[in-house]
Amino acid sequence: MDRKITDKKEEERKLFKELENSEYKYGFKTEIDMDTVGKGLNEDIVRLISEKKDEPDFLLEWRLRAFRHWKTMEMPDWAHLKINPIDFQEIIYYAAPKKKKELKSLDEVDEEIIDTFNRLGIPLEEQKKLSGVAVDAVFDSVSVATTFSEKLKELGVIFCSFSEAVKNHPELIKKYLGSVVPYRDNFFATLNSAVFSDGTFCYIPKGVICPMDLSSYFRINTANIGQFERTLIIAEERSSVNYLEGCTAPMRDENQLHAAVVELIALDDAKIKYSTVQNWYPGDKEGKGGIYNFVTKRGICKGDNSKISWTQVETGSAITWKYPSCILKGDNSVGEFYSVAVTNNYQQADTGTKMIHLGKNTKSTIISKGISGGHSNNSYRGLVRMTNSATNSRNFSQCDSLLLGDKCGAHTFPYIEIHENNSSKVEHEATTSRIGENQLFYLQQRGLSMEDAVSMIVNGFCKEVLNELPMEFAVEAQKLLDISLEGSVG
Amino acid sequence: MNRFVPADNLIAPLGGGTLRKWKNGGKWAENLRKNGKSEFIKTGIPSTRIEEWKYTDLTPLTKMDFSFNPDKTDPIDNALIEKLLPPKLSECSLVFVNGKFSEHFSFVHPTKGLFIDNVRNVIKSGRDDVFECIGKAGTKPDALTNLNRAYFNDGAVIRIGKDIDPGFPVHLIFLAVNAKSSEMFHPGNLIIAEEGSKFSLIEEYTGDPDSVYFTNTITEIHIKDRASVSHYKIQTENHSSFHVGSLNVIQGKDTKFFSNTATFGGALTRNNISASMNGPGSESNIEGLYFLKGAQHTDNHTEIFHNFPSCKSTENFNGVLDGESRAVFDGKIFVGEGSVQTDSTQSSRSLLLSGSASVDSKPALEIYADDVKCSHSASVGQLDTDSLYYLRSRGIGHNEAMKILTSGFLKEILEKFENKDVSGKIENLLNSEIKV
Repeated sequence: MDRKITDKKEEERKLFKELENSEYKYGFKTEIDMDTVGKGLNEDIVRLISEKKDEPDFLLEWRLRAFRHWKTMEMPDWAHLKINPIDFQEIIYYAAPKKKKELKSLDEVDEEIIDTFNRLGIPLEEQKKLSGVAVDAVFDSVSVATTFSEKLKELGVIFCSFSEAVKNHPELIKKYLGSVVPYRDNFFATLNSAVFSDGTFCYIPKGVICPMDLSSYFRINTANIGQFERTLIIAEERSSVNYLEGCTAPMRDENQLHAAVVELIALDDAKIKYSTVQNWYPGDKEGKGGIYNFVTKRGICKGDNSKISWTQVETGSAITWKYPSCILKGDNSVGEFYSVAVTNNYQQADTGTKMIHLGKNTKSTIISKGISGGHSNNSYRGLVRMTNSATNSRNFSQCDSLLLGDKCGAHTFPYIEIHENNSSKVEHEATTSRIGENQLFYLQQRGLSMEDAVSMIVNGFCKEVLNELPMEFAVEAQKLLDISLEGSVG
Repeated sequence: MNRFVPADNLIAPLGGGTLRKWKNGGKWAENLRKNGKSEFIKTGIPSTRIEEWKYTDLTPLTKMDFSFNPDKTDPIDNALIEKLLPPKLSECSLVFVNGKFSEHFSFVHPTKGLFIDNVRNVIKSGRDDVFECIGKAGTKPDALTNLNRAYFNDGAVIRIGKDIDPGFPVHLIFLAVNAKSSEMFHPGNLIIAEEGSKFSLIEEYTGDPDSVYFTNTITEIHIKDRASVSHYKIQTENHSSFHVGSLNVIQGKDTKFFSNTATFGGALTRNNISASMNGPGSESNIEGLYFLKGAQHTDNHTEIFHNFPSCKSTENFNGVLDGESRAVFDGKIFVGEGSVQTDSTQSSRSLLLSGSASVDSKPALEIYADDVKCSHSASVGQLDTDSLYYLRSRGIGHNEAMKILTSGFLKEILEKFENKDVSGKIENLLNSEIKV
């Protein structure tokens, strides 16, 4: 069977190659935009960014307020992370979307990456898009992306880049930008507010159930995600949307610091499900290099009976520092957080969630699975707060950690705050253990190799979370776990 | 807000270096006090911006005018002390009135291999060598520890000889009487259980209802190889007093430690409990319970360090809150690199009887070894309605059923007590406190 597939793939490859070559005959138009500003950060840079993007005054004002506030702030040091000092004056804060160097065929792509692609089961067409190989115009015109956007338009769903939204829907931006993560929120969110480059905007009108999963990957013009991304999703009354961020394929990026902000707003009876698979460059086996992923993600269940659900699979980045959170303001609103965080080699992660219960009868669930191997450190940090107004509310948290080596660390730091409230219930459970020798023995004596046995156990350990991912994502995510943990056992 | 708040008022009574009677002892005692004082002045007291003090605000202490004078000339009426003194739970007891040892009320049962005395007497009689290990247990001294050391003056000194089992507990009673002018007390107790010994200690802190005072105590316990120590603390200070109590324990190889901290009193209470297992095969069981009402605030802050392989620890804290009271649980289990075969469980449960009470809980695991089995759980909630229904359907009135369930919740902790006198006493205290 395998042979058949390989043959077929080989055929496909040949075909594509031919197509590519033929395309090459007509030549490429590779625009390399030289539009960059020098290093460093000051008020002029903020003004320049706003000007280049032709932004309305209110946005410039907002950026400037953020920048002025940022200057008074210090980088926080409370996380269980060792971070090399970041020189914020060494970063280039504005670079117009540069076209990636286009490759002629997959043969030019790093073999290692191709190997990972194949093991993740990423279709050939996607492999090319991901690694920057030019895709034939014919394929592009029938691409799913185009069909999607037409269908969305019909329903009144706005799904575009943040810059486009600023131009076409300034009233929505003005109303909702910073309403969940204010510009003064924290060091990195404030920095992002001052210098954010672009991002995703998504608006689901009243009563619309978005017919397909929206994905940053399918958004046109998404080639360069950028260092300071900003995402804003608004789900109007009775609407519902699934949003997928990132992809399982390895992402190489030259920018070391990524400080994104994500804001979700769910009005009455609305539902937002936000799934992330993060596989940024984690640095080499000695812990050199790698991305700092410092993201502020927060959603507000503003309306009654609304629901926000976060699912994340975090395998990449040298340092992951983020807490996708829910503010449960509407009565009967629901917040969920499902997370798998894998660290290997010298990776570090301090991640978790915050559930702030304000409305009556609000419910939240936290399921967090941490897996650490090599010399890595993996921490869960979470906050559950029941305020006085959140009567009859409920939280359940479960945080499990799996240790795969004797040089790594797994930590759990939950914060539980119940203030003047005796009708609500909060339960927290956490366990830390390693893979039992008897479990491994059981699987091995049934003919499984050590690697397969570990992979099976790890996948079982994460199942509760992987089940929350959309189908095709889940399959890839499972394989991703295997690849991330390679060499950590034995 | 700064991370530390200056608290010169707490150090002011030390005066300008005039040698007072309580400042006896050799060079080492002088250094201990001097270090404590200078370290405390450097920082002041921690504000809520310090992670360990996030939920407990000590700044009210800086606004008080505390005095420190254990050698004041007007003696307290013995009849009054007699009246206030709690019933003794052992034939061997040391009583400290307003921080100073009271010969009159104490009774030491001479036992072979058991050394019991008070700090001043030990220094006076030149047996200072017992203090060699002072300060060696516990983590880096915090501001309150430094403050205590600056006032190092009295407390119990107990050494249990090799393979000795006295067969009876020692009861330490710290009584605050007539401290109307806002006094503070800084007792320091030192317990050394030599190899293979067995020992049981009861610490009790209480005071008359009218005094305003600040107790800042340290109990340091050294448990040598194969020794076993049980420790009970009962705190029923009045509701206008401040209590900070640190229990620092260091354990050798194959040792056993059991501790229970029962908190009923105090306007503001902070219990710091730190146990370091510095030898393989040891066991540490840290338990606690509290019943709070009115505007009481209690903070149980525990740290258990698994520094060697094959150690076991359990931790259980149950508490009931009524009125506008507030409880904090901050418990950390630390498993160091190479501390394999660790088995550790931790649980913190709170029961809220009133809609104005608050709980902040922070159970943390920090683990650097792979062959471990660690778990923790925390819950905050109300009495189970099913259980209540069960009792009511059997003809028990609502209030009575509530009382049964509430005391049952706390009695879970009492069941593990070896010393039935102590559990009996706590049960009585509970029954008188729980009025639904």
